[in-house]
Amino acid sequence: MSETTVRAITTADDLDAMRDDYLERTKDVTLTVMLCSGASCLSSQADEIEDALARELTAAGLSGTALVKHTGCIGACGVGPALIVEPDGVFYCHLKPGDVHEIVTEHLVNGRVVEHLCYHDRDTGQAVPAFDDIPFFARQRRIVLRNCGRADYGDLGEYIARGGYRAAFKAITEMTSQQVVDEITASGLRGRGGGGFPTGRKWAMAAARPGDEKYVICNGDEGDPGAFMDRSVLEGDPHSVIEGMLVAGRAIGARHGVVYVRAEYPLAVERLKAALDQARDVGLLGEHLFGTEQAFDIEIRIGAGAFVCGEETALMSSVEGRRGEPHQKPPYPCDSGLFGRPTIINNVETLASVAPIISRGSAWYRSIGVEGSPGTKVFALAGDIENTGLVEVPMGVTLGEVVFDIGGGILGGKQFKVAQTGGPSGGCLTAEHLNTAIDYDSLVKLGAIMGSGGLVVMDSDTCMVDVAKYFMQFCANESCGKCVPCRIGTTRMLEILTRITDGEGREGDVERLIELCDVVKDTALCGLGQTAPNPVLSTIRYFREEYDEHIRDHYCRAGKCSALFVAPCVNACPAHVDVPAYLSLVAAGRPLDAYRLIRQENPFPSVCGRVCTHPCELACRRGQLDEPIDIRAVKRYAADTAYESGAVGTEPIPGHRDGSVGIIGAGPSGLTAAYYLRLRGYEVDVYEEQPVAGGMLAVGIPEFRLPKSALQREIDTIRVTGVRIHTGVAVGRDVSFDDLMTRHDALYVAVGTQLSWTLGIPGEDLPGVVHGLEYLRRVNLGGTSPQSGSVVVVGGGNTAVDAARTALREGAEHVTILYRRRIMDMPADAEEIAEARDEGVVIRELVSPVAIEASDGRLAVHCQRMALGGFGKDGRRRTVPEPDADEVFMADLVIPAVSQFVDSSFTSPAGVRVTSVGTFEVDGTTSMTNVPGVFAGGDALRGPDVVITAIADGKKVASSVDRYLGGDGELWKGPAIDVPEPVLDDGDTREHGRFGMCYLAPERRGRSYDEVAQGYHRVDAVAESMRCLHCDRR
Amino acid sequence: MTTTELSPASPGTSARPELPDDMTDDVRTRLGQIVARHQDHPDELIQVLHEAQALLGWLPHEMLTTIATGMGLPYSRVRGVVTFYSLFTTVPRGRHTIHSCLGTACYVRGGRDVLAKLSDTLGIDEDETTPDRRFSLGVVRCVGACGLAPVVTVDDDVHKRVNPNKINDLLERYV
Amino acid sequence: MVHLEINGHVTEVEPGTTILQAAQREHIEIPTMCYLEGVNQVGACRMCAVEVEGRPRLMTACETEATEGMVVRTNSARARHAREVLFELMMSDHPADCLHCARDGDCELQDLGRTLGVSTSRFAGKMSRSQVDDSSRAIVLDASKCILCRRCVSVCNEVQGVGALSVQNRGFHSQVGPGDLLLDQAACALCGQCTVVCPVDAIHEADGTRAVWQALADPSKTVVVQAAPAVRAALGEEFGLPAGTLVTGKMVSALRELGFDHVFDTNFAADLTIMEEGYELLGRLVAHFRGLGLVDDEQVAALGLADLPEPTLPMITSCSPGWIKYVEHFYPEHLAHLSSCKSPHMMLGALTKTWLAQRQGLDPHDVVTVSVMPCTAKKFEVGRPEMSRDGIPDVDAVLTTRELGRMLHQAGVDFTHLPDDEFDNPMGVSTGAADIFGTTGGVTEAALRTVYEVVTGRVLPYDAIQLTAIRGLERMKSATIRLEGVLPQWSFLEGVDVPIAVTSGLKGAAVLMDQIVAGDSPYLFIEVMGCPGGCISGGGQPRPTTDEIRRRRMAALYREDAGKPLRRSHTSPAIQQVYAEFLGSPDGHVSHELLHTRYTARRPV
Repeated sequence: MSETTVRAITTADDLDAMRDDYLERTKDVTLTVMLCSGASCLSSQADEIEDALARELTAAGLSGTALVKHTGCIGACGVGPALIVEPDGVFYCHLKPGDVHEIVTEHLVNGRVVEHLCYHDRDTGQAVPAFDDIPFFARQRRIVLRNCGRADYGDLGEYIARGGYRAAFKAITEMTSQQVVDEITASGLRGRGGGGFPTGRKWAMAAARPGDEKYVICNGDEGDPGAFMDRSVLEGDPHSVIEGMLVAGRAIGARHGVVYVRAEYPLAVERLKAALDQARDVGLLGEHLFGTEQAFDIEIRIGAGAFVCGEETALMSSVEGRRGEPHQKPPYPCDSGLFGRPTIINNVETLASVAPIISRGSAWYRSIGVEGSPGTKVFALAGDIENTGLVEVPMGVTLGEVVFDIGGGILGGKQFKVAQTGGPSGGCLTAEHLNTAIDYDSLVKLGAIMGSGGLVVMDSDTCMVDVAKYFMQFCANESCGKCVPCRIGTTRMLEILTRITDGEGREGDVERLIELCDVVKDTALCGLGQTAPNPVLSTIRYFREEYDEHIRDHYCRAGKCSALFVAPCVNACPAHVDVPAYLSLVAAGRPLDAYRLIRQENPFPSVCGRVCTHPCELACRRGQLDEPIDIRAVKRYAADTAYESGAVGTEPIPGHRDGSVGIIGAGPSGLTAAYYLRLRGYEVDVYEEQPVAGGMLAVGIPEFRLPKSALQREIDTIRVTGVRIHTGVAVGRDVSFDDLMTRHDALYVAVGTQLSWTLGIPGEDLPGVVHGLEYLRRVNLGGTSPQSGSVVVVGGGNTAVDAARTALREGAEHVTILYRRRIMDMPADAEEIAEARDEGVVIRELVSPVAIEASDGRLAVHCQRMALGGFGKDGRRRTVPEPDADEVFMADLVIPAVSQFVDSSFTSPAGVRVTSVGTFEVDGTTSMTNVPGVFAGGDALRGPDVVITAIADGKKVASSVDRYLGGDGELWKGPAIDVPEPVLDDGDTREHGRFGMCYLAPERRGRSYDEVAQGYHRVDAVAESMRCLHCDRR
Repeated sequence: MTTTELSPASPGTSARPELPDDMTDDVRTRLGQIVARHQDHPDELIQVLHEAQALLGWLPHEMLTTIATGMGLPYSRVRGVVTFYSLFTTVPRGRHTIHSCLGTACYVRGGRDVLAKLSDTLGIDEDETTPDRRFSLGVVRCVGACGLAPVVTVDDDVHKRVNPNKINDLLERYV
Repeated sequence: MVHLEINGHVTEVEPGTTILQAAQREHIEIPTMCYLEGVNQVGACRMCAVEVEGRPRLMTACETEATEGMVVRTNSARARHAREVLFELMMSDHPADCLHCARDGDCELQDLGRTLGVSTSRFAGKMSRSQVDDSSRAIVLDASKCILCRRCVSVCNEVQGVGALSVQNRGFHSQVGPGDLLLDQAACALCGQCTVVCPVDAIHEADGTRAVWQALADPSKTVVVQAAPAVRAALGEEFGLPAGTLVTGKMVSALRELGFDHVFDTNFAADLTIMEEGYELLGRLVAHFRGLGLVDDEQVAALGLADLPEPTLPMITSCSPGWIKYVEHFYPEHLAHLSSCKSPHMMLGALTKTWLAQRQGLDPHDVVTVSVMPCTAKKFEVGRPEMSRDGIPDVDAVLTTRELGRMLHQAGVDFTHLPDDEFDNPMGVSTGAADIFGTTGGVTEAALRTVYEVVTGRVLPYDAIQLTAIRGLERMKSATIRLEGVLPQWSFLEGVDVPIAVTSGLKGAAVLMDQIVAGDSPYLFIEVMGCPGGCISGGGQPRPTTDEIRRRRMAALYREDAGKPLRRSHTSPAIQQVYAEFLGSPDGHVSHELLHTRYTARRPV
């Protein structure tokens, strides 16, 4: 494309001539198509798109007026192949060669934007045609990437037309070496390779050395995995690097330049070589630059696959043709570097920032970014993030802005856990740090480093011990082996980490790791060894409990360390129900045995088959192929079939154990503990304040989600074992806590969270304002009168959604939920929210009530509209009131449902310790409170949580109580059940989505409390259970 | 990881495992030209090794002795350089070279399972070649296409978002 | 001068002095492992890590130069703890089988453990290397013992310039070795300098003691031992005597204690070598001048020189087998420059199996010859095909000085209290010229003492023209001898200058060989010894070998030379007797059969 007439450039006029020549060449161009030709897009058929463009443009007769530019990486690799149409500034992405025809005919010829090929916002689903409106691009400030995505990488004329080589001309002809050094020093530019060493100071030291046999090295090793900005600059704008090196050569008085590029970037080498030849042809490299005495030429040296060669002294050894082994500093390279000569080594991104600083001045550069870290930084977003790719933002931008606003948040809507910067030398930034400004100094304080800018985002499915092991494996593989602490230290640390992830971790392993880390950091010869411990120290600092869980409980909460569990689903289930086993039983047509197998670990199969939040399905590996197995529905099928067949007998109690256990609260946690303790042979009495047993299952969850019949028959299977349940007995009122302590040998406090938090706003005690839990209790216990008019529910949790759907069934015409954050932040189950909206419930996000007033027989809820603020400690966005933006909602009934808390007052005489928020405080291993023999668990321990966690706590306490009373803590779970071998597809598994379950159509729900989800038909259940990939077979 | 050098030595036997003799006269002449171009620049050894490896896809022992004598370097130093850098290989590669990326981004997006499935399907481990010399399997630490993680490269093709369950139809394209 | 403070002591040192050197001057010990003065300063083991105020990390004392106002603490808790953990890490990748390791009690890793007082070993894990390369008859590489301190790599590449050893692979699997071939196949001179610097038992000489013990225990064998000049100047160090103690007498009685039947002195054969090599040099000079037409056939006949050798000049000495193997590998087209003489101990071995066997009526198959040498390459030399006739090797086994020390310990010989004894005849008597064979410049001086006298009829004055230019330690020396007042039959040599070069260590030798390859070598005679300083610091000598110890051993040989009545090889009665009874004339037919050899070209890589 670039047939620039070749003439030597010695004066400013020559540069102007080159610019005019380019403008002349493109004067009759009305439309420009900037086709991203970065390596990633190229690998996704960008070249075929280019051919299609050429064909279509000539066919449409536009080849004269439409110019196709091969640009460097636009930055949005996740949505490539992509192109931009100028002057309209429209961005098309996810392109296939077939789409080109439509773009040319519709847009280029007829000027109509092709919506379905534009970028679509993930939340709203709307198309966002304009490049500048897309958040990913809008918030960027492109200095290093100024030409990437805009200019044709191979067109020297265009580079000059966009201001290129003016800085080199100025530095060489109008400035002295000292002035150039001073300007760079004044700009405050710091090394972008990772260390952040002030570039000006480095240049000054080299400039002070006599002679002109000096070297300028551009470090393009970019060994950090997860970083690819150097690659994109070299491929997309090689001249910016060449010009930066020319200025550097002028500054320190050097004649030789070397660009060290890793061999894994062949495209970058090819395009850099072409750019060097272009520059030489016009005299921008070689002797007598711009007619002066300054000479400078650049040679390319290719690496050969060694991460350590990113370290400057190792890099120089590699350029000298030797093993890439570093040596001690001092002597520093600026004193004696390549071939013993004074040498400066700067990263690609640093050098690409030099020309703009010289052209536009250090004051301009210092005005960007923050004190101590001026200018911009290019980040490579990757990992579990929606928008992967390159972004260049001013220093000081917060981590949350990069990950959520620019990065589009976590892939698949999962939860943010960690952003890892600095690769194998870096550290973790957790949800607590989302408000932290990203600059050199603040990152170091958090035990992380800026690194080259690779920012790998990891969601909650990430095991931090596994991440530490991954980075240590990387460092052990890449260690050059020269010095003892790194050669042997990394391997020994890796062995300890491997032991921990294999479930063979020993007490003291973490302390030993820390000790090794400190010594390796303190004594290793080079940067690799000195920073190899950082990922380990950082994960220990922020995720120490995960290490302890691996060592003490052989439990990997992220489900990654396969040695610690049978299958990911079993591991994700708090009660560790053997899912693959009961799926095999259902598949083999034995639902009754499936039911019995489930009951071994969870006495509430029918309840959980309906209301469990199914963490198992999130972990199901089938999700990576097509859809996760509908495990909850299969469990419900097994339970319902068993109950309907009447074959649910009572398990014989194997043996009598002397000892009596009292349980306060007949919720799922209390009843589970009662069940297992009874099976162990203890006498068990359960005391329940409410008139019915079941806790939240009875009074909190409405009939249409959990029919009372399904609940009661399950409670009966527990009652029939001999557990005595005393309903309507309130401890502290009808019987004292002390009496129970004397009457029983052990007590389990499982009272749950019965009291609702108040909104704390005026008018909350008006009649017509009923708190969520109280409202659901009244409906569930049958004490309410039909409701009409409109109902306003305040809150985002399951209680709020249940209250709203119940209000509809009680007759309310309009039900509105007000939530002060975004819908995506609502803690309620996503399926329940969708059901509620199907049934007509309106959800208004970012609205928060400030006062309730009675107004002519109705209630006026005065609210304030909220705006997004910083990030909370849990990674969710906090909200702040929008100034003077309020709204009033009229209602006949207002139901505040903003979480519940524990009423622990009844235990106060016995001095049971509680936390500041009223939940009980227990020993992590035994679940015992500070009072011997008194245990606590479920929501009373954790605050409002889900039913399966309460059940798991019940089992854990049953085991601890048995151990406390002299037993071995082994729960009796009934006779073993033989599980048949599963039938599996051979070879690659064929894709097949879930078998659908039938639901009551929304319009037929109206005011009926019939159960919405109607469970699996036998054939569907068997078929669905055969989709299981059986990760348990290894 | 490069293969470890010395097999347990017993006097007289060579320390080199049995390797095919791919050297032909044409290869020898082209190698001679490469060495001649960099004759009096021992510091360009790594560039020479890249050009030499491009001839056969791997570096037979004879190539290294030719390079060592040609550039006036001790053989042990040339071999030391070759075994230091992971892109040089002294065992023959298959017709197609597969690199499973285990950079941080690809690892986080499941690169580990992709490598395991590749190794399972091909029946070979890292740095090995299938008996029929159709495929060589290697690990690479980041090819800079993190936006498309997890990535697998086969020769020059870059395959993006590779699903471990769909390995077979990825491999079928390469005979 | 630079002022710094170490552990509270203020001191002043020259710029460029390292913290380690400064500390040693203040009698402050800093533990080191990979550091070896003058050989290895690479900062690989980090054991000498010290705290330097203002530096974020510990700095290695061996590499960090003292700077003005530096404040150093060498024994802070942080530094000591770091060293202990580093030592545990090193031990975790080292087979802790000290009790049956040859270096037990003489191992720097053991000494370091004792200094640090480390009692725990908490980081056991997989071992990185396990191969043993015992392919070579001279040197064994036991990778499992290697701690990768890289001393051997430095001495082989930087000091000797051979480059047979380099670090292979990367990271935990790094390994020192010749690459994907066995040491026996590598272009290695087997000079053994690596075995001298190795702090542990990773590189050591191939064992010769077992074969010698067997021979001594076999009543049917007559076991003859000889000892090289350099052994007597160093053997005492194996028993705690100060370096440079001359123990010739005690050595002879010690060898008798072990049960050797005859104890000969390699010096005898050194004098013999001077005769053979001296006349070979003269032969080449004569052939050279005849080539120039400056001497006619009668003069040649008058000189009694039978068949003249090729006039290949300069002639280079051939008594160092490491040097010989080096030339065969790297300069195969220039083997003709090497003297055809065998090394002294090979000559003595050949004479033992022929002349001595005949004199004593012994069947050569029942005679076992053992050489005690300061050298590892000799273990290879004795196995060369040219070094045996009709299947009978001239020398059956070689023991290094270290191995002799070990055998004497095994035999319970209380060396320091032994009385002196005399070598046996006829191969026990020798001149002072033979003694100085063991040191660099010695062979040249010995040869000149004879050649000068043959040509001029005058005795070369020992002191006046001691050719100081070629004494001392500098690695490369040269001198020129002007032949004046020559005897009539040597008239063509009148006023001829004989430029001589002397070097020790293969790096210097390469410089001289490159001059020959380029065709502009100014010399007529070159002496090369494979090891820096000559055989007194050979690959088989006691550890350690420092410059100071080299000077002391050298002085011992010169002392023995000065103390001997006979100091010129041709005046030795034993030499005159062997020529009269057996050899006839120097370079004669019998000499060529027994005392001369040939060389084979080897691959350079």
